[in-house]
Amino acid sequence: MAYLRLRILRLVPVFFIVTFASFSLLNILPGDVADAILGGGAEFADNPEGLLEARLEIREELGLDRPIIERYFLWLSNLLQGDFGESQIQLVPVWELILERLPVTLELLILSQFLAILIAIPLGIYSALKADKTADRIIGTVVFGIVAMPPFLLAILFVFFFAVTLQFLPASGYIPIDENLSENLSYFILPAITIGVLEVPVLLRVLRVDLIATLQEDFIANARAKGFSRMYILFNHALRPSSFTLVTMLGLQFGFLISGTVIIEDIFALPGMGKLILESIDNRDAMLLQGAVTIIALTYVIINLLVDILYGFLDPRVGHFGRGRHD
Amino acid sequence: MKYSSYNFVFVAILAAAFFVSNFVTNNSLNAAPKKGGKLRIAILADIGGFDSLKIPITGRQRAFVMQAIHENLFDFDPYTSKIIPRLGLKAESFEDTKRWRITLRKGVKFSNGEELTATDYKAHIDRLLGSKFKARFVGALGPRLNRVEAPDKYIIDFIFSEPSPGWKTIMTVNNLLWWVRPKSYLEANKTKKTFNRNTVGVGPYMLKKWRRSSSIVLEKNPYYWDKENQHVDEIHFKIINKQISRYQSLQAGQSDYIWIPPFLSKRARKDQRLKVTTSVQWFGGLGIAFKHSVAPFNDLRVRKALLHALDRDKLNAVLKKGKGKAPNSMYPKGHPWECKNVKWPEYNPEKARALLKEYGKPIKFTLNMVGLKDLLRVAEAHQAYWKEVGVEVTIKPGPRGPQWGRAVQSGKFDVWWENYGDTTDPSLVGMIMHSKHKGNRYKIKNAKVDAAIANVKAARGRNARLKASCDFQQVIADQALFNIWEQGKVNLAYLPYVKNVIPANNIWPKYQRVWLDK
Repeated sequence: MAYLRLRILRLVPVFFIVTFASFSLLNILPGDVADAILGGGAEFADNPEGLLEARLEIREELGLDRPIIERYFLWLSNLLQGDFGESQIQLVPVWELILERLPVTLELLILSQFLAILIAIPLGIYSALKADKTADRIIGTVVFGIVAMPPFLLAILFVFFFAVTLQFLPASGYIPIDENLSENLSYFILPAITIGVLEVPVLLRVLRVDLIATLQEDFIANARAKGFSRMYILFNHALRPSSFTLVTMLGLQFGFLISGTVIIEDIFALPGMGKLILESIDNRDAMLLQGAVTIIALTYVIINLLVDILYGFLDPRVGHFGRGRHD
Repeated sequence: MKYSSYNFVFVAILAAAFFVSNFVTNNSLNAAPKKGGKLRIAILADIGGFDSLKIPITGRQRAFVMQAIHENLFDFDPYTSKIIPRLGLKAESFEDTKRWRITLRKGVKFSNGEELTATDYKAHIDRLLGSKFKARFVGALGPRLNRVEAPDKYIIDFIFSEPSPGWKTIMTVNNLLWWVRPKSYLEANKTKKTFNRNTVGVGPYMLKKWRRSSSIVLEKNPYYWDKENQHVDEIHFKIINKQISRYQSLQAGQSDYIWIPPFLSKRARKDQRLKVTTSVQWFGGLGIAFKHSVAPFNDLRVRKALLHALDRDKLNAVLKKGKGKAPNSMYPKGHPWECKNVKWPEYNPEKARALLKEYGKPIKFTLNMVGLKDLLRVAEAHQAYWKEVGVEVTIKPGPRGPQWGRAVQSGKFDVWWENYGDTTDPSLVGMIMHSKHKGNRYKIKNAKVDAAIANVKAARGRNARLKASCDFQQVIADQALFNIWEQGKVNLAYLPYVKNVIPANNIWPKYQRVWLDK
C-alpha cells in the first residue's frame, strides 16, 4: 500500500507538468479558438472592424482575455470538482467527448497489442532457441525491415491490398461494438494489424535478448541436469523471468499509443483519442485538449501501476509492490 | 413441320422483343429513377452542429450535408443555365432591386409536419441578423441584406441597403440563409443545450443519427413536397479526413460518391471501376494579391512587369502535370457570366525587364503563402519566373487554417496568396476593390477601378450587366491588380450504379437527387 501511495503521489507533479505544458504550448501556437469559431474571416470581407469586434467578444466570452496562469488555475479548480468543462468548439461537455472516443482507442490498442503478443512471443522464443542460426537471422532481417517502415505507408498498403484489391475488409470507418460486434471488429482488423505488426520488432527483440540471457543461467543448467525436457524448462522456468522487459515495453507502448495512434486513426477514420487531440489542437480548443491530456496522463500512470502489479505475479521475489522489484 | 416453324418464329419474335426492350431500358436517356437503397458518401469533416449561431460558419462539409435537410427558394439548372422555382414560385424586384418579393409554394412541410410560411423565414433571418455575430452573417448572405418582411403567409420581402440586381441568382446558392426551421421550433428549442444537435428542415432528408466525428445518417423526410425527386431511402455520410482514405473507400466499394481534387480526378478517370464528372466551380480563383498602397506595388509599371514575367499557362499546369490554360478573368470557362474576350498581360520577359528598367529601382519582396505543399510548389514556380527578370522573391509559408484568414484580413502582408471568392453574380465579384470599400485589403485606390465597379452596380438587364462585368474584368487586367493562376473545378467520383449525378454549379453537387441502379 505504501508503494501504491508513493506511485500515486508521483502522479501529482507529472500531472501539473503535463497539463501546464500543454496549456502553455497551445497558447504559443498562432491564433486561438476565436479564429476557429470565426473561421477564415472571409465573411467579414466587407467589414474588417466587425471581425475585430466579433473576435474580441468571443475572447471575452471564453475568458481568453485573462492571463494564462489565471485560466490554468480556473480550469484546475473546476477539474478538482469533477468538472472537465465544455468544448469551446463543439459546445459539448469534454467528458462526454472523451467517453465517446476513449473506447475506440482502447479497443484498437487492446486488439493491436494482443496481435503483437501473439506474433512476438512465439517468434521471440523461436528466435532465442535458434540464436545466431539461419532462422534467427531471417527473423531479425524481417523485423528490421518492419521497423524501417513508416506506419502510414504500411496502413495504406494494407488498405490497398485487403480493401481495395481483394475487397475483403473495409478500408475505413467505425461502428460501435454494441451496434454490431462483427462489423465493429471488421473495421478494427486492418488498423490493429498495422499497429501490431509495427510493435512486434521491439517486443520480439527484448524477449529474445532476455531469454538468451536466462537460458544461460545456472538454474536452467540445473533443470537440464535434472532431466526436464526443453519445452518444460522453457515454459516453466525460463519464460517468466525473461518477461520483465517485455512487460515493461508493453506498458510503455500502451501508454504511448493512447495518443500516438493519431496517424492510424486518421487513415482508418477511427474517431479515437489521437484524432480528438489533433482536432483540439487544430481548433485551439484548450478545454478539450486539457481534458484529453489529463485522461491520457492518468491512463499512462494506471497502466504503469498495472505493470508493476504484474511484476509481482511474474516474480514472487518482487513481493509487496516494489521490495526487491526489477526496474 | 409447319407447326415447328411457327413456333420458331414466335420464339424468335419474343427473344427480339426482350432484347430490344432491355436495350431501350438500359440505354434510355429518360430511364425511370429507382427508389430505395442507401447512398454512402465520404466527407472531409464533421458538421459541428445545426445551430449556425453556435458553430463556425465556414466548413463546406456542413453546407454539403445541410443541403439535403433544407432547400433553397430557387435552384440553378446547370444544363440549361436557367433559374428554376423550388420553394419559391416567383421572384419580383421593386425599388430598383432594393426589394425582392418572393411568393412561396403552398403546402410545403417541414419534417415535423408543420407548414413552411414566410414567418419562418423572417424568424430565421431575424435571429441571424439580430445576433451579436451579425457581421459574420451579413457577409455570408451576399449583398447587404437589411431585413426580411413577411407581408403575407406566403410572401417574403427581402430588403437591401443598396440595389441587388443579382439576388435571384444569389438565392440559388446553398448557405445558412436557407437553412430555415419553423418559428415555433426555434422558439421552443433555441435555448436548449440540445438545440445544436438536431434540426428540422423542408428538404428531402432529415437527421436520423449523428455519431460525432464518425458518421451522419439521414433518412427520407416523409413530408417532402417533391417526392418525384426523392429516391434513396437513406444517405450515410462517413467522416474520413484523409483524401487518400476517402478515395480508397470509394475504390473498395464502401463509399458510392465523393468529391475529389484535380490530381485524383486524373487517376480516377483511368480506373474502370469508377465514373467521374467535372463541372465549373463558381469561384473567382486562386492567385497572388498585391498591396497597392506600398512601393513598389503602387506603381503600375511594376505590377505589369510582374505579370508579363509569368508564363501563366505553364504556371496553371504546375499542379496538373499536363497542359494548363490560365484564366483570363475571375469567371471560369463555362460560367454563366464568363468573359471570353478579356486580354490579360501576355508572357513577355523582355517587356517585363523594360518596364522594370523604366521603374529604376531593384524589386525585392516576400511572397506569403499558405503552408500547403502543392501551393508552395506553385509559389516556387512564380519565384523562378520573377528571378529571370531580376526580381528577388522570398517565399514565406504562413499558418494554415483559420489563422491564415486572420493574417490576410489583418493587412500585414504586402504580397500573398489569395482566394478570390464567390462569383455567383457580378454584384459579388471584386466589389471590395473599390477605394471606399471597408474590406479593401488590397488598398486599391484607382479611379478606373472605382468607375468600373460603379458601372457594374448601375447596370440592369442581363446584356448590360454582362458588358459592365466584363469591362471591369478588363480593367482588372489592364491595371494588373493581381494575378490569377487557377480556377477550381468540382470533380465528383462515384460508382457506376449511382445515377442522375447532376454537375455541380457553384460548389454544391446535388447528391440528394441521385438514385441507385443496383
